[in-house]
Amino acid sequence: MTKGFSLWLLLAALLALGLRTVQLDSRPMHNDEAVNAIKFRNLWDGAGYRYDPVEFHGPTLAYSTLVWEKLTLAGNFARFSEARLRSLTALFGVGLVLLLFLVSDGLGPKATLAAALLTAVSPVMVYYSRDYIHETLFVFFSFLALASGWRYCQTAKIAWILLTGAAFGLMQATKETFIFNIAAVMGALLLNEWLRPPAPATPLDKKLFNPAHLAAAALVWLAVAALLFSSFFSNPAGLLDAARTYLIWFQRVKGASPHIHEWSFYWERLLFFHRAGGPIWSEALILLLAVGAGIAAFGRRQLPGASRPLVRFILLYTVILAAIYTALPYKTPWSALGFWHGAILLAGVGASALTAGLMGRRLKIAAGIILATGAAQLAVQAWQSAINSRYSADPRNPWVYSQTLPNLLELTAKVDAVAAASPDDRHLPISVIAPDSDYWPLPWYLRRYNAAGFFENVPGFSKFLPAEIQDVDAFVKKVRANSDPVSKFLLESGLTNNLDAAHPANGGPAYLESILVTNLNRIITGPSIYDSNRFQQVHLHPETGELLRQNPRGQDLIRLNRWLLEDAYPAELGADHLPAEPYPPLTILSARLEPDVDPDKAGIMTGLYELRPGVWLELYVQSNLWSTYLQHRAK
Amino acid sequence: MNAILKNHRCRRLPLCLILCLAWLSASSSSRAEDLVPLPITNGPPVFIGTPPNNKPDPNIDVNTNRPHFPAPAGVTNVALHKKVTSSVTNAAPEDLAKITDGEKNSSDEDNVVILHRGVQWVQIDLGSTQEIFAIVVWHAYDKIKVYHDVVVQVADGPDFTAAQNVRTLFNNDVENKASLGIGTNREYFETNEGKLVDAKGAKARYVRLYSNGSTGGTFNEYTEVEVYGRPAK
Repeated sequence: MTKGFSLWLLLAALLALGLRTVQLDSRPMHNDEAVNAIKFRNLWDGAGYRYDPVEFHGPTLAYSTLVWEKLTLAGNFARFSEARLRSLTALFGVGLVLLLFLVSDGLGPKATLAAALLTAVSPVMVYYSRDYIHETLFVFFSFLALASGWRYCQTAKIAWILLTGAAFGLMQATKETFIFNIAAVMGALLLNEWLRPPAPATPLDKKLFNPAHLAAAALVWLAVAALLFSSFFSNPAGLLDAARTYLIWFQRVKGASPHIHEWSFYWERLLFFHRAGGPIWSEALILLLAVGAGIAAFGRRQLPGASRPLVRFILLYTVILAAIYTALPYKTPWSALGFWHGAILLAGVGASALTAGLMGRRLKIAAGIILATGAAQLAVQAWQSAINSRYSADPRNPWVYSQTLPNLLELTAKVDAVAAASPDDRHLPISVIAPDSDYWPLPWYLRRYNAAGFFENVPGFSKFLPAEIQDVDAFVKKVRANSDPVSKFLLESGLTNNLDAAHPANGGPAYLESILVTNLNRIITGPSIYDSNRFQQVHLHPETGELLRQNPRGQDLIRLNRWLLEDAYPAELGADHLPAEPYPPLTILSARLEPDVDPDKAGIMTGLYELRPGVWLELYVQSNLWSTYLQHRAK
Repeated sequence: MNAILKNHRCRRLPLCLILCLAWLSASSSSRAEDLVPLPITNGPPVFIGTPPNNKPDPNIDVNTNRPHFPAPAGVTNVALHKKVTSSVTNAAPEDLAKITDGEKNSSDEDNVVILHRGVQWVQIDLGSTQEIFAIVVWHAYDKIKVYHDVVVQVADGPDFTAAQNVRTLFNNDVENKASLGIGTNREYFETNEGKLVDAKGAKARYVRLYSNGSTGGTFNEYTEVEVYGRPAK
């Protein structure tokens, strides 16, 4: 390769670096980024890493971050920034450009440079290189496997196939979807061999793929994967989990997920995406050029400087991978990166073939200008989607998915301001309460608060939860016996309504439990159930008697009703008589839980904030702290 | 599993109690000896996978079917086609007139008046003193959003000075950014029903409404304002 080639490749890498690292904190942390960050905190703080086969993908992100943060002499995790974490994935995104050097003799120099430019500016590649998630690492390791495999085919040196083995191990330890890449590689190799015209074997061919090389590569693959999944042998169960995860993900892929989308999900985003009030987004140029490369790969025309088998392999690999992802019902937009990177490599070849195939210098220059303009337009789109704060978290952007809205930063800024006014500052107790733990990325933004707690229910929440009933059958039996005034009251109040629907065919005991709890909660959230005649035979717990004397309302009344029932059926319902937990000075609450809030105790509701489209949080501050904050602000 | 879930409340309780007691004790000025914070660390938050791309909050109902608001018979919208002015001095009168033109469809951009960012107000001159029972304001409800620092006032004079009998009917400016006093009302979601403010029969000629941007952007937006009243006796 010439000096000029290396220089142009370096320039493309610099362009990629610029687009991937400018204003890395321009959009709020995504749910998944924050989860990855907080999981990494355990590793950084010395608590180790443990692979979870259910969710959150593989260990390479955490360990790569560890290496990167050690190299860059990062300090206390509380001082980490979004930009610091995202810079890791950004560098892997730049690495995708530099890796092209390894396949430049297979794609041809012009095609390699065109692919480098398109990798640098592709909006989807830029967007997710700036996200602290696994995807860019995964694509990097996939390309490393392909590129080192190509080098092995060119040299038959064992080092290259060992690197291929290591890359496969890293892929496996990054994302469970690596099995799709393996399927695509195998399919492409077989089809490519089948399509290849017969030719006498060269001396190099005879050296390739000897069993010792293959066995060594397989060993390296397994060793790398085992090392990472077992957390460097500190968690042997990780090895089993690495296999068990596929059973779990298989269920998810079959449809038990909120991320089920129709076949066109990726293609709409890649080729033509428009939402009312937003611009039109399209990377169709890349697909057009890739199609051109595909036609050239199977046509008679020469591919300038390119290896036809390699181009055909990339084409087949990309088509198979794209078909798999298109057919799978489970889709998240970042999953497009794998096959789209293949398309970008082909687009480089397509661009080179197009300019080479044109007759005459003027036509070639015109084609070059058109392609350069197209690439510039992609760069502008990349800027708009990934960097420009107007669209980087806006649902009108094709790559914004379950993204945290900037409004959340106003909430965290308010929390910081209120805490700064408090003498407790970073020790201020904060409760974040949301059903289904839907409060991410707040654990990231509240990482400096050592007294922040995360809960599912409001303080003083007293409704029954299904698992809290000690003995469902005995309770139903006792009530149905109708032998005491409380049971009579419960029957008249409809406690046993719909219970007969809980036939085993309809879900059996769990269904029965849920109906019973629904009915119970309907009763205890109504008016006071206390009546002196009704509870004459019931021995009331001292705590119940005390609460009764207070003539409570709101959540306290619900608790009183519950305690009364617990006193009447202590063996069946259990009786713990826990006092209501107090509200902390500052509460961040899901708006879904507002009906459960006791406004007298929660404090002043100081604002509503949108976490994600349609998901709202309320900020409550105790009145004394709010007054302190206002006085502090007035100064 | 049951045991784990059963312990859920129990686990949470001591942590909350400890945190709050620690806070209260730390805030106390009478200390018998030097105290240091207990080295308590919280358990980690519960990790979750990628949430759904769009999960509308079930607590937010854009068609809330507000109950009927009782008012004396004969009360009408006395703001219809009345003159509107604003703190945004370069706002075109024909634009401001949209606030009282009777058109309240936010999905039609032509109906929405957009005013500068920051605390801004619009003011309606009812032409004569009216007995006002309710004021209903629609900001832009093209999507679910919350407008900040909403204040609704009435007064006898156009300058809203102390001498002009200014009365605040609604104020959720809890930080007093508009310098009209600390609000005690809650923020609310913008809906097609508009926000109804009970004016309790206040007698006034001028109505002024403040806002300070929204969760949807920094601009102040109005689709319509209606003032239900009748000429004061």
